[in-house]
Parts: sequence; structure tokens; C-alpha cells
Amino acid sequence: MIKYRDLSIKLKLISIQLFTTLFILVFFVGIYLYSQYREFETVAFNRMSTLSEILGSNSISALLFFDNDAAEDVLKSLKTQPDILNAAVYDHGGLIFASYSLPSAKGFSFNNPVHEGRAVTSSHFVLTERIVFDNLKVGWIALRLDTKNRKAALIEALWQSFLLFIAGLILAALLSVRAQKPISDAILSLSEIAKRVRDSGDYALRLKATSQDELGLLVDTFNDMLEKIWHHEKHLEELVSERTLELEEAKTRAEESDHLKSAFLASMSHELRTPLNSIIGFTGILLQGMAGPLTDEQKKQLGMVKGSASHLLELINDVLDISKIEAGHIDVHGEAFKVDLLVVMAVSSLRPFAEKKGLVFNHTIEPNLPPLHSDKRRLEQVLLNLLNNAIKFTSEGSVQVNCYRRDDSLVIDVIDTGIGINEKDITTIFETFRQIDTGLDRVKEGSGLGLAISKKLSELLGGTLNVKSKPGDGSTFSVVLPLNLESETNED
Amino acid sequence: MKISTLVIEDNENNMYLTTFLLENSGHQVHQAYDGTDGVKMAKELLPDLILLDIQLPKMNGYDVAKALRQDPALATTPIVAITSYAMPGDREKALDSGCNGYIKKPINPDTFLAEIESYLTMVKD
Repeated sequence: MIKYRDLSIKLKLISIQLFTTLFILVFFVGIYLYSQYREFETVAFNRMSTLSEILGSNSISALLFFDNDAAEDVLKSLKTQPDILNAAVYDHGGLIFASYSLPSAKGFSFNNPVHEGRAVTSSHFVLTERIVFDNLKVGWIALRLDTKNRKAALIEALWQSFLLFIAGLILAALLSVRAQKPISDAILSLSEIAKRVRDSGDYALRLKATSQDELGLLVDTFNDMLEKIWHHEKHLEELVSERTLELEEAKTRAEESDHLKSAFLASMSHELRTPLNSIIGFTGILLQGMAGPLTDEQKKQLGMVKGSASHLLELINDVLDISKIEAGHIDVHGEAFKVDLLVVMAVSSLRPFAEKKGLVFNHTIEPNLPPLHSDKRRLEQVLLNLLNNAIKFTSEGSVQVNCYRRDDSLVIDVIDTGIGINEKDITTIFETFRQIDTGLDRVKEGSGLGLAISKKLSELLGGTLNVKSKPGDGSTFSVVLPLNLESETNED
Repeated sequence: MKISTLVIEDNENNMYLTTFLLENSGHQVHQAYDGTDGVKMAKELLPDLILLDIQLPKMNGYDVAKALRQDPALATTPIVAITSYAMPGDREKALDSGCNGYIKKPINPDTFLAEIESYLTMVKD
């Protein structure tokens, strides 16, 4: 069975109107029928009253002169009233004086005729009235009426009501179908638009308000809501395209600035090296004695110029290197090479400095290492930097280089017995322009960029650079590079 | 017979330095201070060796090298770029434009002549 709440709005509205009409019709038809029923009684008693008045006054002389026959004749005039079954006239004391019965009706004796009154039974009305003459009570008259006509009248009223009832319902149905249309149409179109908005996401859709009532208000509110969403969406779109534009501009600016940075680096490199070229070149020429003999003091001082110029060059190279790395301008060229040769070359190039300081400078290389596929020059730069640092910060003891294979990686350890690094400094030594306070009273040559460059280069080569150290116990720097064994096999 | 070398370099001091080193080892040095002059002199003199700066007035070193290589008489003359450019790709750019070698500034007077010598023998071989 379909539940009321699941009916469509249209059917709900129609059914509400029909049921309301039905209840009203039943109520009024009931009242009408009841009033018809009561009306019959009133009309009947009024007629009986009129009749009894006429008959009573016509019987006065007969009563005064004790003429029973005359009274009987008076009563006989009731023959024209087919529903009056019985009638009787009584004297003042209540004794029967004259009586009448319709020829087809049985005789009837009225009870207690000495009181005025009305009696109603299921099929008869009885009326008893006093006969008065000149304020003198002369007798009583009683009439008895058959109520069979009442049923016929009621049935007729019922028929009329039924026809009215049907007509009313049909009219109500027609009216309700028409009356509910604006309401259900408005709701249906509202839900239709809501559905379309949901499906298409087109917030530019609008409903047409057709009325000024709550539904019209709902439609207006709905339109306002769509308007707001539409504006909001438009605003968002504008915001997105605005931001996209800004991002594009920022990207262009970043690219421009990147380009400028590269140009600046190239230009700086050129501008700084050009005068340095003369300084280093002429110092070298003078020191070689190519321009004439020098005194020992001149040689010593020119040696200082050469050392400072070399240091300046080192600084310039480091600054340019870190700038290039940070600007992403460092290219790494992969080539296969024997790493043991590289280690030997690096160690021998720095051996004079280590020996000058009286340090033990040894290296071990694991035999049969596979060739390394990496950027030889960059790795050499890293290794030289680590060895330079180790020698620089070790005043006595040794610097040891170990090169070996661990799983699929190549490891180069640079182990010194130098001053070591505090725990709090271990994380900062790889940062740019960071040179920790060694606490030693000596010139710290270097830009403070060496370790930062080395770490970044190691990472560019796909590897890592780590350090283990304790203050006073020396340091171990480890470069770990992937061996890329597969690509090696392919190339061989 | 003296080796004839053309130096194309715009910085006065560096020109003097290179010239001094070369003359000391017996080269006959010709000097050009800009790119167009360099090309002109190279075509006239047909030197045994050309030392070429890259950042030059009027015409940069890459273009000079390209122009020289188009002249059949200079097709095999060793050209060595001497430059302070140190950006990645600079070496490749120099080699691509026709240079045989690349020496980075600042030059090391202790090794400079040996490097020059190696380019001369390399080309001869």
C-alpha cells in the first residue's frame, strides 16, 4: 500500500482537498437530513394545530348544545386529510363527545385527553388541544397523524443530498486539480532546476518566479543563492587565473633572474681572473728569474705575493663553484675510469705538503675494484679537498686514505689524527661559509666552502659525504659513490 | 726558424705577459687587440699558432675561431683558447667553434709554455 507521505505533491494536494470536501459534505448532508427530519415534525404539528383550532371552534356550538352528531359531522371534514387517521372531541371533563377515524384506519382511543400536549411515536404524531370559547374551557380535541410520509420525504432528501454530494465531489476534484497546479508546478520546476544545476554545475541557470507567495519567495531565495554561488565561482575562477598569471610572471622573472645570475657568474669569473692572470703570471716570471736575477729578500716577498694570489684564486674558484652548484649550473659528465689511479694521483700530488709537516701519509686500495662510472674531475676535486683539509688540520700523526668496495658502493675514507670536530659542529661544517673555530693559533687558509662544495658534488655524483669525529681524536670523512655495476657491464 | 704566433687579447697587461713568455721561448709574436683585427692579421700572416682570448671587443673568440676555420689556409693552424670563462659548456663551445685546446686563466707561467708546446706537436703529428 502506498503511504501518504510517499505520494507526489500533486496527489497530496488533490487528496487533501478531496478529503476536506468529503468531510464537509458529509457533515452538511447530515445536518440537512436531520433538519429535514425535524422540519417534517414541525410542519405536521403546525398543520394539526391549525386543523384542531378550526375543528375545535367549529365544534363549540355542538359542545354547548350537547349535539354529538354535529360534532361528528365537523370531524368528518377530515376526510380530505388522508394522513389524519383518528380524531376525537371530548367534553370539559374528558368524556368522549365525538370521534372520527379514516375509513381505512382502525379506531383509536386517545389516552388522557384532558391535557394539552404532543406525543410522538415511531409512526404517529398525536396532538391534544383545549377548545376555548369566550375564555370558557368547553372541551378537548385530539388528532392522530400517520408519519409514513415522513420516510418518503427523507428518502427524497437523501437522494437530493446524494446528488449534491457527488456534484460537490466532482467540482472539488476539478477545482483541486486546477488549484494545486501552480503549487506543484512551482515545486517541480524548482526541483528540476536544482537537479540541472547539480548535474551540469551551471550556476548561471535561473528560475522564473510566478507568484508572490512563499513559493515565489523560495524561488527568489533559490535564485539569490545561485547568484551568490555563481559570483563566488566566477570570483574563484578569476582568482585562479590571476594566480596562474602571477605564477607565470614569477616563473618568467625567476628564469630571467636565473639567466642574469648565470651571466653575472660568467662575467665575475672573467673580471676576477683577468687581473689575477697578470699578478700570477708576472710573479711567476719574476720568480723564475726570466726578467733578471732577484735578491733573496725579493724572492721571499714575491713568494708571499704568489701564495696570496694563489689563495685568492682558490677563494674565487670556490665562490664560483658554490654559486654554480647552487644555481644548478654544474654539469656532471659520466665516464668509466679506474678509481685507484685517481686516488694514487691525488695522494702523490699532496704528499709533499704532508711530509713537510712530518705526517705519515698512507693509502690502501682494495685490489680488483670495478671501474667507477662517474665524473672524474669532480671526484678528484672532492678527494683533493678532503686530503687538503686533513693535512691542514693535523699537526702530528697521520693521514690515511682507504679505498674499498662495500656492497654496490665504492667508499673512500680519509682518516686523520687531527684536532677533530665537536659534536655540535658536525652538522654545520657542511654549510656554506662555515669555518669552525679550531682553537689553534694559526692561519686558517681556505674559503670555508670546501666541505660544502665537496658534499654537494658528492651528492651530484649520486653519492654521499659523511663524517665521524671526536674532538682530539681525529676525523674520518667518507665519500660513498654508487658503482652502477649494470651500466659498467653493458659498456664492457 | 722562429715559431710565428698570433696573440689575440684585449687586456694590455695580459698581452704583455703572454708576449713576454712566448718571446722568451723564441716565438715571434704578433699582437691583435680585438676580434676583427685578429682575423685580418691571421689571414695576412698565416701564423704557426694562434692564442685566442674569448671575450674580445668587436667580435668574440668563438666567432673568430669559426671565421679562421673557414679559410683553407688556416684550416689546420692550431688555435688555443685562453679564457677566464669557467662556466660549464665553455670548453665545449670553444672546441665546437674550431679551437684545438683550451687553457683556463689565470695561466700558470711554470706550465704555460709546456702546454703550448704540446698543442704545436699535437697538430704537427
